Amino acid sequence: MRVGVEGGQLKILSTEDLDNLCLGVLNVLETHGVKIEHEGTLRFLNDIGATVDFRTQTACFPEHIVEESLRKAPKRVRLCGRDKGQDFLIEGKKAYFGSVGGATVLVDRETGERRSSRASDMAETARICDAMENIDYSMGLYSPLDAPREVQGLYEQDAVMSNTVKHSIIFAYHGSGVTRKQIEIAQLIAGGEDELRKRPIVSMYDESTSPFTFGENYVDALIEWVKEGLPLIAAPAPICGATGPITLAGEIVAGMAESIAGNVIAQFTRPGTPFVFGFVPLTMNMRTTLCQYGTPETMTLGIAQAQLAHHLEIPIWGTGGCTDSKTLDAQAFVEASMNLSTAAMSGQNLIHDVGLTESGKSGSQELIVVCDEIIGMLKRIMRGIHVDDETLAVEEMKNAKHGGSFLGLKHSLKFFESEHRIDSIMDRTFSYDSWKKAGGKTLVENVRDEIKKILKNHQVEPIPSDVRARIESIKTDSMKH
Amino acid sequence: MTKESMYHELANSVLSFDADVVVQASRKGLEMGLGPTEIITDGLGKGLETIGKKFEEGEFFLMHLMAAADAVKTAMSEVLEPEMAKTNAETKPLGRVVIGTVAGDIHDIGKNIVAAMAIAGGLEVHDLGKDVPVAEFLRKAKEVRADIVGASALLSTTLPIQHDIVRAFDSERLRGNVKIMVGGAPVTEEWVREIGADSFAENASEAVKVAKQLLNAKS
Repeated sequence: MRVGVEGGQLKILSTEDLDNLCLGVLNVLETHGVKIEHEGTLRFLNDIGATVDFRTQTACFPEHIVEESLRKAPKRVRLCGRDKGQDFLIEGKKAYFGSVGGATVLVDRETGERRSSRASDMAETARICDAMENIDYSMGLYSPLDAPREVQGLYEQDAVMSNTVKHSIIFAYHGSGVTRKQIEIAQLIAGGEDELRKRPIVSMYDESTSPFTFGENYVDALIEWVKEGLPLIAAPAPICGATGPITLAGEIVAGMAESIAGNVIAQFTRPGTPFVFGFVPLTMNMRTTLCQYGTPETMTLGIAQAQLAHHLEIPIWGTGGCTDSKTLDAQAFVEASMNLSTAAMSGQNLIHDVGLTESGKSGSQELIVVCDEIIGMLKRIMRGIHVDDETLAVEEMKNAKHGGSFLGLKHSLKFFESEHRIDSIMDRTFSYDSWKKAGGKTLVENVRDEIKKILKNHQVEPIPSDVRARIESIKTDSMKH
Repeated sequence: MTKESMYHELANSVLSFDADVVVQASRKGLEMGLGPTEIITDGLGKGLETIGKKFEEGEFFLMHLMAAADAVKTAMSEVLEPEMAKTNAETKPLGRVVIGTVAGDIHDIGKNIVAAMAIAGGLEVHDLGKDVPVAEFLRKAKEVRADIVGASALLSTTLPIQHDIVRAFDSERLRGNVKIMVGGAPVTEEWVREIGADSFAENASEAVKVAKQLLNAKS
């Protein structure tokens, strides 16, 4: 089992604030509701007691339906890997970390050229995620733009799941039957329907369109996926000020309400569906219209939604390790460090977006590796300080004598490795000269070397060849339709 | 009240960012005997220009532009357009734009901002909405004799539809008359070249500038 780091140290809202935000969510769901461009779903929501207007395709949810949907949603979500040792349990304020998908551009490590992303980049990224100590689940960071448009989702899934034994998260792709095919592939890799349900080695991320619009594709994918009892992350990404209110409180209410509306559909389709709530906190730059990932407001929103989730006892999606910077400069690492720290310390459960650059347009494998180190550092901070007679070390001060040293003491030997994290990629050479002698490389240059090593040495247990063959034929057959 | 002070009042009404104020000023202008075209060109248009300039200078933000554009749009549809219809006044717009979010994609915030800015910039905008089939872009462009077609996409799966649109206009041999602009977060210069579109812009105010350049080059 992978162990999550315990968060929740960071809080910005009072209990009264949280109660008021909850009331706001109930209010908007009851009086404004969501637009659902899906006739069948509107009918079934009407049957369970939602107030449905078939003409405007909107559904409003009275309080009892919302409350019931929240009761039906499990407090804990277990996500599994192909390797059982990689399983983990989302619960309480525990934080786990991973990447994302969807970027379309990258800087080619070999040529230094900016180019469109391919399925092979996603396979590589999954392998890097697989190798990283502090990355808990794998995603492909990019989009497989070299794959036929209709089956991009299947190429993504194959690239990621074949290159990791950790849990995978895949995107909901739009269009006829892609979700069904994604389920088929997942079942093949897991070894059957029941096996996949028992040990869900993959979950799906399905994003509605803010404000409050559930397109046909979103609903199709959601229902198809949860019918199988598989874990779903249904997070909208309202852009504060543009597709969400300009106030942070309003953005939280809008984002959470939209996510909770998704949970209503999920839980009444299949009660007990493992569901990860929340929204991707984005803000719009009011000078350039950039949709921002690295502003202090996005982080504040993240902290708040974590608190709200703990208040409601629901699992929560998180965001960190991402940046608006166009390149791996100081801004990239400032933003990634800050949003990872606030995400982890506020106790967001399933933190995503590690490695995303340029506000989601491009992605950087190098940033994933640096974030792995940042997360390692954060885990050390959040582990805190163990205080007991032995660690107070009063006797050791006496042993070291006035003006003496602690270096040779048994006590130092005993506690060094449990008290101090040994980092790997940060430069801690003693002097400028020794750094120069060691190659004089920057962090990013070192990380590039590290990635080369990983891709050369890190092996992932391959998918059995008969399963591989069937996955390939699903991909090819799907293109014919 | 002189014509000049009425122009001034009209321009200032836009800076209130309040549709009611702009509507009232427009009515007052008509009552004074100003023509609708005059009200737009010498009054409201100047207000929008000022806001545009203050935006460039960093004093105003996107929401100011949008609020002003919305207010002017309201005055146009409630007061000025009905008046033009009554008098059969022919106004020749700077250019005609057909805009939409491509088939399969329902992310339309960017497209909406571009449409609002284009209206504020004096272009005639036909907004097809979201999830718009290629054929609909074609049909509308022919119907209104569009100068520019703008196609927006956010998803990696819908981005290729922009290519389909370019091909559709190619095969109908309309590219001489209709310029195609593409937009959306994943659109890059390289993509524009690859699919043979005419242009793209990074954001809405840039988009209007580029559109006007295309129009100038055309005429």
